[in-house]
Amino acid sequence: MPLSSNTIAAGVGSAVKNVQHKTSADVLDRKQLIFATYDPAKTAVVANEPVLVLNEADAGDKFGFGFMAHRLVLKNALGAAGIETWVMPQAEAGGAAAAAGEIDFTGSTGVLAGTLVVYVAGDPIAVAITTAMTVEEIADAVVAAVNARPETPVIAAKTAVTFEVTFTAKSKGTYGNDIDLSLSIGASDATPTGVTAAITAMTGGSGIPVMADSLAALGTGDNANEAHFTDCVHGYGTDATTLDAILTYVGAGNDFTGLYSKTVARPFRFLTGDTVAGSAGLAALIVISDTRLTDRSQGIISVPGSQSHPSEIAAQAIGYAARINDNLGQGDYVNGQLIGVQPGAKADRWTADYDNRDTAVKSGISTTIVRGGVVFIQDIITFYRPANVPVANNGYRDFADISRTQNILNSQYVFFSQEQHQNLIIVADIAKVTNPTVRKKARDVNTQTDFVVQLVRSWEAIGWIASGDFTVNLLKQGGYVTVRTGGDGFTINIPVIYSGDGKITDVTTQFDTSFAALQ
Amino acid sequence: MSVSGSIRGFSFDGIPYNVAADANAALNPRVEIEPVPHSSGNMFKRTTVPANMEAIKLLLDQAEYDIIKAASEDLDDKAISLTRADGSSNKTQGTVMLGAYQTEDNSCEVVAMSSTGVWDNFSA
Repeated sequence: MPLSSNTIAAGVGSAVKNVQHKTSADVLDRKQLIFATYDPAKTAVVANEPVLVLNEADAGDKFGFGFMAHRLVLKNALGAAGIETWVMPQAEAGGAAAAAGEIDFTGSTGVLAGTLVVYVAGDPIAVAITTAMTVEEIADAVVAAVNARPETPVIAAKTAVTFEVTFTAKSKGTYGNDIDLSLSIGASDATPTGVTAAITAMTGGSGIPVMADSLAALGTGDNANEAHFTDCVHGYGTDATTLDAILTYVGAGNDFTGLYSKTVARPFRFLTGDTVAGSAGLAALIVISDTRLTDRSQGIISVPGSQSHPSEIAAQAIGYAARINDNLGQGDYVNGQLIGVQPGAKADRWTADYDNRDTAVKSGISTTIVRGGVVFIQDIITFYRPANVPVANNGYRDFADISRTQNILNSQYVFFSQEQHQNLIIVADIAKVTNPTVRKKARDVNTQTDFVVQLVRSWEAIGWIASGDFTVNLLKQGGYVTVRTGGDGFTINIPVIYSGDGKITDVTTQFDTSFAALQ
Repeated sequence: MSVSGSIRGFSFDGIPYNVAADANAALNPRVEIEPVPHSSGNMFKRTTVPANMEAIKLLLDQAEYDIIKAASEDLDDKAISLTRADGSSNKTQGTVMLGAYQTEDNSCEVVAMSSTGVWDNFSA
């Protein structure tokens, strides 16, 4: 209760007031949101209500170890390394089915001791094999090893009679279909002598939650993304309905729609993943991208042929991007290492060829490269590339530019939300105002321009824009800061050119062996 | 020939203050050059110095002085603008250092210091 001017009883008032002291540009704090299903047995979870997770173990406790939410947090943390992370828990779709696959060790005979490395979604699980193990014993060993790892996204079991090892995805839905089952794919792996196996890939998973419902739970209208999430990922790959829902929520094209509305100004970015091998994989991605030319909200990153889960690759990549942009609002992601992501077979890597990567980037596909068996990020971009927007002018293509936009939107919002920019008295010439009290709140175009120059120079100082002079010179020409017709505020247009990303270095050393030029 | 004369206006953090009519603000260049003679001629010692606007004499009542004093003691940069006799203005970001407040004429000489070293000139 406030102590008002007419209270008379003795008392001591003590309060705090949170105000904003922002006069220069600060890098926007990143805030991740992972859309994923969870263990239905976790009845305390409220679907479509974001939950802050402290680490992957916390995610496992809350959403079930090895379930989609836990898996994506687990992999995301490898890239994000401490960035604030939330989970949007989504109930599994009604009628959803779990994917299943198997490994059949029938035919194994004369087995010698060694270590069999089973890979589930690209994660290695070492299985101790002893001399003279039978098929059933091998199956038992594999089941025990897999199930001993709670973070594994499958449950293993042994069939009766023929002793195949079956793998059933913990999370129902299409997510399970992308859980790869492999043996001995590591460079130092060696399948023990006598062990033979036939692998049946995971399949049969079906059912995807309604993304539109989960997005709506973040807020609608001017309240959209009220919690101001910046970086998102989901576990539904290239599901068109999911991608469409995201596009609609964030807002398509170059318009003030969705999260880009002037009264919202809190856009986030989504990344999904892909591992389809070879040139066919690139072609398929281009087909997808070609239908999303106005999509500035999301992109897809490819590690062709990788045994890692595509959504988990995306989770790590978006985590890395978030971490970079938490420090540098304009930082890009070239050579960011994707820890533990399997590189896949060399023959499958269309990304190994520069021309392919160039084609991909021009086609709205994010790329990676493999060096020494390690996967590195190259470009992370959106699908956005309308035919009428030249490549050089495309400000929605690069995720780093999306980050610049997020930062500038936040910066100008925070700047002009300060107390000193509220309740203004707008006059034609502030010099004519002599009352000191009124002067604190009086503004004309000239003084408002002072603040715009200050803001622009702060963006220049932090490297978000290439040149403050460019903007200031335009401001000098006038017309960029005007009083609204009704005298109820200002209309401010700030032309800027974003700083560039130095991702390409083209060096040629011209050599000669003749000394003639030295004479 | 361009118009010269008294400063027409000075604002700090968006708030205008009265400037004495006889004020002659001095904008320092960013670089001071000092010749250092040697046996073959001169070497030029180039020293980067603050691009300050000095000797801006403000006429302030106590309330205004309190406002600008509080703003100057704040750690964050503020918008600074100085309007010349011809109506053009120099704008930058930074802070001001206040001189002693003279009760005789309610004046205070300030030094406007740019954090960027750039004073953008806006024509009238």
